[in-house]
Amino acid sequence: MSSAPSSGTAFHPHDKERAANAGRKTSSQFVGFQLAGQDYAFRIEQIQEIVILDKITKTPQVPDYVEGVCNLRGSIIPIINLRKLFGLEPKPVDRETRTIVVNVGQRTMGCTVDLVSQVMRIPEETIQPAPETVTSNGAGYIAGFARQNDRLLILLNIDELLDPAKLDQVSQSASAELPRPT
Amino acid sequence: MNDEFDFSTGLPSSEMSQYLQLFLDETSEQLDALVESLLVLESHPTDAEQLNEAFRLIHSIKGSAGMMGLDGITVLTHHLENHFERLRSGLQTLDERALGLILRCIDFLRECNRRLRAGTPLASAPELLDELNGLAVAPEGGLPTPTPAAAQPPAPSVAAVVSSAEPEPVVLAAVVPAPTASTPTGRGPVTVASHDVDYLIVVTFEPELPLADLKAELVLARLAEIAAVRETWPLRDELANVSALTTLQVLLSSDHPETELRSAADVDGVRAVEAVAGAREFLELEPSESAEPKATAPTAAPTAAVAWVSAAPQIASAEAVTVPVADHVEDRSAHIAVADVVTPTAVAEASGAEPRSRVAETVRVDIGRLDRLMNLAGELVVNKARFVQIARQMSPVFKKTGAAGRVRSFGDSMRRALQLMKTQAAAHSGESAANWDSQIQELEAGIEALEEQSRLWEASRRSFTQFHEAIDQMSRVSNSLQRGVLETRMVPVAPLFNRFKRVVRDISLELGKRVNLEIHGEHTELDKRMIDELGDPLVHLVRNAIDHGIESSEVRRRAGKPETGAIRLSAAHSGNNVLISVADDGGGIPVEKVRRRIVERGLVAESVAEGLSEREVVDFIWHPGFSTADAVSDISGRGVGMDIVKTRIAELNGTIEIEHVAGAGTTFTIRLPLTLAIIHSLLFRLRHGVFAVPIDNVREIVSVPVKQVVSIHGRQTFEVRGEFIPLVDIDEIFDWHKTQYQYPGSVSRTAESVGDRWNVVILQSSEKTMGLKVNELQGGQDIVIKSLAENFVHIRGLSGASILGDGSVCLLLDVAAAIALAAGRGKKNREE
Repeated sequence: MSSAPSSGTAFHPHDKERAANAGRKTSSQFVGFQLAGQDYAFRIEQIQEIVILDKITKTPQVPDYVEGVCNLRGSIIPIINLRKLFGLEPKPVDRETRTIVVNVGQRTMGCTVDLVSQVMRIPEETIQPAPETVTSNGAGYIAGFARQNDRLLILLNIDELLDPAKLDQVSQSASAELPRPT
Repeated sequence: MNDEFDFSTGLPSSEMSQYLQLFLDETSEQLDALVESLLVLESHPTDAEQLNEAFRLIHSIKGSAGMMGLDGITVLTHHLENHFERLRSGLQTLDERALGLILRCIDFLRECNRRLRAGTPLASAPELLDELNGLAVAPEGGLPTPTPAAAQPPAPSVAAVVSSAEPEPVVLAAVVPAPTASTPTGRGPVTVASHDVDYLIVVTFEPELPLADLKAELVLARLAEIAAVRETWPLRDELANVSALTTLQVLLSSDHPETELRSAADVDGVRAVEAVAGAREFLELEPSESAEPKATAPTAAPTAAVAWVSAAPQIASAEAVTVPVADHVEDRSAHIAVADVVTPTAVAEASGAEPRSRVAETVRVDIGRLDRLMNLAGELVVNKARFVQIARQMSPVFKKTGAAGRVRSFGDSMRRALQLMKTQAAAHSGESAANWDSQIQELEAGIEALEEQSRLWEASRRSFTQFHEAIDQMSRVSNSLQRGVLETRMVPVAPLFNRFKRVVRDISLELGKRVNLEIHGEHTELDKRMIDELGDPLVHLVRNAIDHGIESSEVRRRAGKPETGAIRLSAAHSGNNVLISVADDGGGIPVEKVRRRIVERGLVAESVAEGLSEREVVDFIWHPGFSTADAVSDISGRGVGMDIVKTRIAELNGTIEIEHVAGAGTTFTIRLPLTLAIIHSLLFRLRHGVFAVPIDNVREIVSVPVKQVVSIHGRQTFEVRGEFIPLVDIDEIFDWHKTQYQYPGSVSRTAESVGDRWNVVILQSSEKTMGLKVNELQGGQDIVIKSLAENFVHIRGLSGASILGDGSVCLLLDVAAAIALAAGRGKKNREE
């Protein structure tokens, strides 16, 4: 849905305005966060809240990326450690550690991240779809890439990432596919 | 993104769906009731009460389907209604063919409901309609349409109806000549089918009358007191939907004079009332409908018969039929004539007394709302527990009454000392006196502050006492609230069980077996959600019982048993549990056949199978893919089912057990917690946090000296009163991933023996027992069960989780699965 005028034609002020309007219409809000220095973002629509947890009850018989369950105002929600899900080195909880509570279908789940950076608005047209080589390897949870202040932002699809039925697949493909800071 | 937001999904559709929900709930209940009526009718085809009940149910389904604009359903139910009309009037009797067809119609209607629920388009069923119409010309002596009912009433069947309720010789004698007294017009005497006169009442409301629909309701209610309202226009159910209601037309029959009817209809806001007697002539309704309004009362049959008697002389004498506006004096005389014939009680009952038993008033509530309420009540209980905990921590400070006294006497002695100092200071003079003075003042101020604090503290102590009382009060209220909310979810199992009347009938017909269903304890109450979940497992069990359990009648005869098999479905409370059992009086489980089968299926090696105990063999019934049926039947025998039954029951925190006696039958007993929501549990702390187990699964708690624990093949065992019980650590049940994260509030202690003893909780499920080492026992508590699968996945060995008083989550152990897990892991370890 590119509204950029083709080169060579006269650039009328209205076009500019229209382009700006169109830009606003097709931009979306994202919540940015970091894992091991890499920036990621979730679409804001599926995010319920961001919390600091102190009590987690560990659950048996689950992969290591499941931290356990915790009580969120009367609901018991699972907590997924995104670092572990992506096969990154775990990091102790510190003052910046946050848990993003998201809605995955009918479920409410939490995922811990190193830090939550900001809420940002990203114009849809600046979002690059993930290369097929990435998504075809079971990494369908990568919705796309975007540049934000010279930093590469990986946009994640919550439904593909945190659906309990898909978690294992995500865990397997994640370590190979995600860019890692060197 | 705001401007992209779609607001188009507005109210109307959701409002429609709200009605749809109501419609679906109602009709499915009515269909269930209808099936029940039919099953009674199957054995008593002329039971007037059941015929009327079935008619009423069909009629009301037709009405609501019409309201919803579901034409397909309306047409089908209309034909059904016609057929029942013929049955009711005795023109036909319910035969097997008709019953089968009606049941198929009901299935079709159920399918309609299902489709409506799923939002898929409705199918049509022209063949059902054709067959229904075919029934109308069935060789029963009836005629294509019910209209000429009066012209040729099949005297025997009328007599049968009459004789079924207080036969009256005079009446019987009169029934037969009645048709011959028909008017020359050939329409029959039906237009005045009783001593009641039909009226068309037209009520005109004042223009733009507010709440006209309510006024109309009022008029109808008033008229209903003295007349039998037959039809209204607009339809009663639609009154509220008619915008600017100006007129209400009511077709009714009554033995009250027209003036009374007029005055009944003339309420505030009504501008005019017109009454036209003999209105039936104008409206040309089906004459047989005349019996309808009162037919819902069981006494309808005799009244209708009596009506025939009175009708004949009346038509013959006065030409009430042909004169549209009947003189009501005529009517009165007819009434008197009737009164001579009819017994007084019959008149009383005919004139509108309602013998129908009152149904308890109910409100339909979306179960989601109850769930939310349940959650809130649960949270309140958790909060209360927190308060209790805080109060307990505070009580050592405030509860010591002695402390206050000591502070007070300490203050007093200080005052005395101060006084002493003052007098001594007075002896001094000069600079030292001034020094003393300032010191004394300082001390005085200090003592005052201390006394002030002491008073405050005393006041706080009183407040604390009140606080304590308030907490007690809150505990009581929150507990009753929780219990109350729980009770709202409890429903009797009767509707669930009653479904099986049909299931058993269908399956036994299909398999050519004769089976009787007995139902016991249908008033036992169970959590609604649980009842919803139980349907499928029970169907499986019942099917299995009929298919595999009950033998063919020949085998039964040879075994000296009654040829008709029996299935008993029963429910009962047992402590904190509900027991639901499916029992048959069939051949029991053929243990040797099962033993052969598990070898054939490759489930165990032959040598192993030989050594299995009977119980172990029987347990293979739950194995996925196991089936003993000689032939795969349409109903069961596919080898799926029993394992699913077990899984389903386990998901409800229940267990299922088999008992069988060779040649005498099998009983499956499902044991369920009273409610899914709350379980009385024992709490204990393990290395990984606090766990709970249902108290029903705890056999006992023992302290085992470490040196009494013996190790057999790497497995720990201990002895309790001569019984050897395996002793396990939680790590022998579950896999835990290594913990690398430490959350501030999480505590991790290593479970070790206390001194030289272990605290052991002996867990029990079915016949299996296991001792679990625990770090610290925390006592019993009612916990509110929350599902782990709701937001995540089901974890084997856990049946859920709960929130404790301090807000942390504790896991609820599924004992049966935990024992199985421990056994499995033990096996694995040995193999390695």
